[in-house]
Amino acid sequence: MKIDVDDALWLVRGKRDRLSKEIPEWEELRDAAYRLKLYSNSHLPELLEQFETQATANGAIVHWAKDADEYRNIIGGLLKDHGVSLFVKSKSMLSEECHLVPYLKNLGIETVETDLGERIIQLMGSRPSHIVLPAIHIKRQEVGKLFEKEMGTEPGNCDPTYLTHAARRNLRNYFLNADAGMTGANFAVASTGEVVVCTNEGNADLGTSVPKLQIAAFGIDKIVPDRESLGVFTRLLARTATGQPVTTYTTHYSAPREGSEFHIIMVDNGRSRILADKDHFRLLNCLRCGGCMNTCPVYRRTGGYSYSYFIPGPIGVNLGMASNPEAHKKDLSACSLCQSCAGVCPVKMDLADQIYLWRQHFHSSVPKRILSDGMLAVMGGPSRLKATLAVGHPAMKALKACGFQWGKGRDFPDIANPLEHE
Amino acid sequence: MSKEEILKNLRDADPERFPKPDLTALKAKSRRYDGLVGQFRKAVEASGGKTAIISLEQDPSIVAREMFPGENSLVIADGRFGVAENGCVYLEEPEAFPRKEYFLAEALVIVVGIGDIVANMHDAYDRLGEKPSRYGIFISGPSKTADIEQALVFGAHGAREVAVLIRQ
Repeated sequence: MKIDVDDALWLVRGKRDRLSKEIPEWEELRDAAYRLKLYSNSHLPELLEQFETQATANGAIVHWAKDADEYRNIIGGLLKDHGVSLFVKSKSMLSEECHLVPYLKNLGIETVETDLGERIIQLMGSRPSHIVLPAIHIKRQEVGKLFEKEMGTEPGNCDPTYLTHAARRNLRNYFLNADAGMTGANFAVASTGEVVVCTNEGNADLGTSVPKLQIAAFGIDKIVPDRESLGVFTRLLARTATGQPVTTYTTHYSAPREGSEFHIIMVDNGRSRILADKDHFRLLNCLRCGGCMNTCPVYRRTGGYSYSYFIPGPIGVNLGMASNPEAHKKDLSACSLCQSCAGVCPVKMDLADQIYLWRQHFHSSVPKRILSDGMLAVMGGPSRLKATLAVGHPAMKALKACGFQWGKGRDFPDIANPLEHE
Repeated sequence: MSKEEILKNLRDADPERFPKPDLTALKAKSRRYDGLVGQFRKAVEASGGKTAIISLEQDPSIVAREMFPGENSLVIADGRFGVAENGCVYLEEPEAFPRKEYFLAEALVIVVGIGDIVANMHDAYDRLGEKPSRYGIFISGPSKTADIEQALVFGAHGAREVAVLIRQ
């Protein structure tokens, strides 16, 4: 199964390479995106206030949330005030970061994830394993079984087109009856006060064009100075994320629809702290495109669930450390410093170098030292290695036969048979 | 107030202040196309859409019906301009119907003038300028997803089919 994920992600990486080569000025584009982000993130107070002024003039209502608590309370309050019982939501990493859906459930509000991948994950009671391709690790047969139970699809039919169209029919009812719709944001434009959302499915668009209440919430690092800069970012984003020239829909929301309300929530939740960190403030450049995951040899072979932070891969290792180093320092070992991520990042983040920096402060743990000293003891030199294999090959076989595991659901590798090396 | 607290924390962070990059040189050297219309059609079709060139006299709704015979859920919309590099068409809040029709339609037909095609997204945003509109959207081809085993499927939630009529 792991090999399939690896192949699928490498395919996406290949598409990204092909599409980036169609643009001769690709490297200059990345450089411009990098500089635009450094500018934006180092001028946040001015740009956020400019955004607020513009958005308010457009007729939107702007809220500021300093942390996850405030974010949840603002959304919970809005939904309560508007008597919302059915709430449709498009994909938002911020909502995962701030644990929105369980909170709303406690308030008695049903949140329906409308991105197909997110919906599959939600119905399975699971969590996304990739920030752009949340259900990349799930087989069509599993989706078929799930939809059979949840949507009454034909038993045994696991054709992706059939299943996608079943979900289309099923989710239409939610879209048409929802009391409120919410999106995250890919960009928030200071000069115009508009929120820009990039999707392929049209779920964000449907979810915001029917209900009377629209909410858009984003981290303050999503701010960009103007539309001119969107020209740079929209050429890079989908090419890097999924290997498309652009997403199907690039939507600019500024004013509420006739007879409805548009609320915008700008969230800090630790971002100002990252900005103050001289080693790691460039993490705020991230567009959440997932490009670094698609290329990372560790992520591709281990999958999203092997990381402790909810965002996996090279960017997730860094953001986890920035958020809570004690909780996530084990993720630091999920990197070979191969620099592949730095080569594809559309905003030129030095993700591997930053992992290296974190390691200088958080790495040399006692278990790791025991492990590396132990490796030297059993593998240091040909005779030691031979002896280890002679004992280890049958011993590992016997242990595995008794159910001995590396971790939950994870097998130890076999130890090579020394006779085959003679 | 949280606003004041956030702004104070951001100011206290005191990051190195980086200048705003000048994009003039990048925009000037950005990729151009000899045949804008041909490249635009190619890009729309690559995104899963159809294209046709119509004359000023032709009625778009008749052309649309011929393109999608028997389709009851068909919406015809006015696009402001197209983008050759990626096959996007820019639309604003429709006047004749609510915006949800862009997405509820099974087939969406967008009409755009043959002189209203720009090379890339830099030109697109230059054309829009910095004055906010109430609502604006770039659409490139039909709604799509690859969330089940990376198999590309058209018609996730929005229009299953999109055609762009390029009016001479």
